[in-house]
Amino acid sequence: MLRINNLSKTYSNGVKALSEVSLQISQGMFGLLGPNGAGKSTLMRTLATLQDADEGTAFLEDVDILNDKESLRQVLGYLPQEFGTYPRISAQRMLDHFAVLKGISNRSERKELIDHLMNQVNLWHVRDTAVSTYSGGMKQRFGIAQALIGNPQLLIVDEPTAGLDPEERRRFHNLLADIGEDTVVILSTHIVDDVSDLCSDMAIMGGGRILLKGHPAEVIDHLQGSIYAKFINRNEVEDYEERHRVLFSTLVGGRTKIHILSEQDPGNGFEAMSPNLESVYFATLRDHKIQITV
Amino acid sequence: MFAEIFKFELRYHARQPLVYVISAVLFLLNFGATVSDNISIGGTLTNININSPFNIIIVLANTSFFTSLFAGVAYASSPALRDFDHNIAEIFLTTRVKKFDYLFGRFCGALIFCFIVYLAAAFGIFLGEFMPWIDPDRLGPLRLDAYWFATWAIALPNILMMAALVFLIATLTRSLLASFLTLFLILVVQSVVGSLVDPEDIRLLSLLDPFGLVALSDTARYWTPFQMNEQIMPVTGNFLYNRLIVLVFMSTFTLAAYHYFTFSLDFATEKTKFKKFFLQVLKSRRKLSNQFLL
Repeated sequence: MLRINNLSKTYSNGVKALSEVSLQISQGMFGLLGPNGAGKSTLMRTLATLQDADEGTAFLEDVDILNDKESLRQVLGYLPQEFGTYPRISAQRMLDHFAVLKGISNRSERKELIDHLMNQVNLWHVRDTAVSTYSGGMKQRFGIAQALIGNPQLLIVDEPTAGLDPEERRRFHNLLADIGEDTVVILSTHIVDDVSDLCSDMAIMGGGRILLKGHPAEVIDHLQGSIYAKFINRNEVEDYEERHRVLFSTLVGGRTKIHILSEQDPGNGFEAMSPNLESVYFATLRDHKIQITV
Repeated sequence: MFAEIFKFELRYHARQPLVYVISAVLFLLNFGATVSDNISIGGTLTNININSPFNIIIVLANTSFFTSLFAGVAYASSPALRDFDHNIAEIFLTTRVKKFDYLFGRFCGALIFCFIVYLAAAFGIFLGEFMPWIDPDRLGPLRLDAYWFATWAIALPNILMMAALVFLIATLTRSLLASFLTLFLILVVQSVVGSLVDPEDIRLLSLLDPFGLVALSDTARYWTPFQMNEQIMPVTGNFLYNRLIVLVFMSTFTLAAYHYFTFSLDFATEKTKFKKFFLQVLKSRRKLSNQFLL
């Protein structure tokens, strides 16, 4: 169990990145959903012992994350939002080095672990190739292999699917889905599908605060019967935005379809839709007046 | 863990092209200086044997200049800057690695590679001695003891101290350019001072000279050509004090670099006063050179 209590952080330039963030996260996959700039990465980096918070506490079981970084690092796996690699060093060699740094000093044990990981993330056939030549998806899979070294109890994955094509993303999802149930996995993302595909528990973050937390099925249920959609002309969008609580608009076959939030049937050609996580996400951001620029 | 990091460092640098390029260039330079009178390296004499101890010592002392300037800057800045430049620091920082092992494992690896470059350059002179077209009248017996003396008494301390200085400057300014410029400046000052030697101030200059050349050439100032072909300078007097000072500086630089290196993500972004100072210097220099041009 990961317990985060009243975590706050203001950067020296005045940006309030975290504002009294409190969360209880149990074993399994936890989705942290939020637009860019919501404070997700600050939270991830704070939990990964890379940054200090101004206030608050964070405990993994009884390890004090903020004050006893060394102990946390014994059980931590972290995939940063962006990372580079050394030129001309093979994936295998790189993993071996990380395994050393994570305290696996026995050479044959290391070899076995790395063979296993390279197979698990499906990079066995390119294990002798430099990571710098990998595609985006391969690099992220290498990243997760690196994070899995040493059976972490806390696994932090920061925006792992950003920039992956759909096939790569699907592969990555399968990989994450296989990770043991007894690990606390925090997946931060701005892609709703990541959370709906993978997570049994979630929170939505915006403006440095936790806006909503709960089980995906439950939070979706709250919106039952209040989502309506309609095809409109593109130039009517502003018009509708004035009269309705528009959540988001999508293009379907080149036509614009808006989704609105309404307690009663608005009529006027709108049809009732069953809510999904996307509706919840946009309804939450709308409630808190958080703009997202897509 | 130190040993593993050191080993990885050796393997890492061996995989990069840099060592082969610099070694080849310095090898050819020294080879050329030995086999041809058209290439001469600061201070060698033509009225004595090409391979006299005096000439070999002078060339190798100069080699330690060039090794420091090229290999030293590239390798010794690497422990402090590489992971931030390659954007991989976050992964290292979340492992269990300790600052000491991390920094010194790498720094020792860097020193080995500086020394490899030096040895390649020294081999250029050695090989040159055996070239068939060299005038046999100007060739004395092979003096391995001269190579040995120049290496342990002159080149090794010089390279170690310059590498430690680069390590410190890179740590303080987070800049490769600053390290290079500092060393370059030292070399310029050194050659100016070396050419302006006034016998009155020989003691002071001997002690200030970072490469030990002033004291060395002062020792041999009144040597006859016969002596130059035969003798090796003794490690006494000003030269000895100079070497001791060099060792003190080396240790000081290394310890200071260790002290000032913060093993955290802030290291790359922090605006330290040293960094500001360096940026200020760059700016004012640019202004100055603009004025000169106008």
